[in-house]
Amino acid sequence: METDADGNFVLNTNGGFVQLTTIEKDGYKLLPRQVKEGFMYFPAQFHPDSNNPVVFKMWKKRGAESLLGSAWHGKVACDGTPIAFDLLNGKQTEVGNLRITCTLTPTDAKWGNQVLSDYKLQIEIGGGAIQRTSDDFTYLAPESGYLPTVTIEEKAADPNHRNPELEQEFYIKTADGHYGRLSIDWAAWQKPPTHLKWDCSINPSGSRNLER
Amino acid sequence: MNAFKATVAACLFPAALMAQAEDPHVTGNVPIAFYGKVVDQNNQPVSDVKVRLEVRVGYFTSDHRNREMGPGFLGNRR
Repeated sequence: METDADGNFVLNTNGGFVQLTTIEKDGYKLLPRQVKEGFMYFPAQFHPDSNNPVVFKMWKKRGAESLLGSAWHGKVACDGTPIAFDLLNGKQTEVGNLRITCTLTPTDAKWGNQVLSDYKLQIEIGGGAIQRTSDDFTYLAPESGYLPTVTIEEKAADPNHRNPELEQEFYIKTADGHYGRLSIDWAAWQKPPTHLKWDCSINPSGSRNLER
Repeated sequence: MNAFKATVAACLFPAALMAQAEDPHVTGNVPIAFYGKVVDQNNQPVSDVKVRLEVRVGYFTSDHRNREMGPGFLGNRR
């Protein structure tokens, strides 16, 4: 079936479960988390509503560009010592332009499900800037809103606090004015040293386009 | 009297079988109406998008135990 002029489509049949197989249109890309999305009719966990259709989001492509990619994964001590990386090759180096500081307090706690600690993640782009994002699509870096440093933290005493698997995306702007996308995944629930990984894509042309 | 009971039972039996065959608790299938809308990053509707949905048809592999667990989706229909 195809969407109408208002982007709507309707399916009427019998069954127990509906799963999205494909949503395609040239020049568009479906939101990754909606790929293979499913809806359970029996037992009724999903309640269809013609006035409130399920919305599928697609990105209208601007055209892929050649991005520089780098990534790193390893273990970090979480004692507040900054770790620096070179964003162009992903290597750990003392003078890298990506500086990440993971802190767990206390670091020597007896770990278990009931034991919590304060956690803090600090990220800095040397000479450049960074901003946190919750955008569905991260294919176009914003022009403004960047900060020298981003800090994500929570105290153990905060209500509903749980040491998380911290997964976060950021837009970055390097010292030489190149835009990029940075994903960080920190296992703040682990006993130190904890797992940390990051993945970065930078557009060397200076364009804000982050499609690849 | 026994003949009467047998006649009534014989009449009701096919109806009972048909009802069981259509009972979603037995088949795992219900009428489906799915309403979807496709929008772009600016929340503008996108027309002429090819949408393909897979409808799974549920039915049970045994009569009671699986019923409590929920339907086993063994058939697909597109």
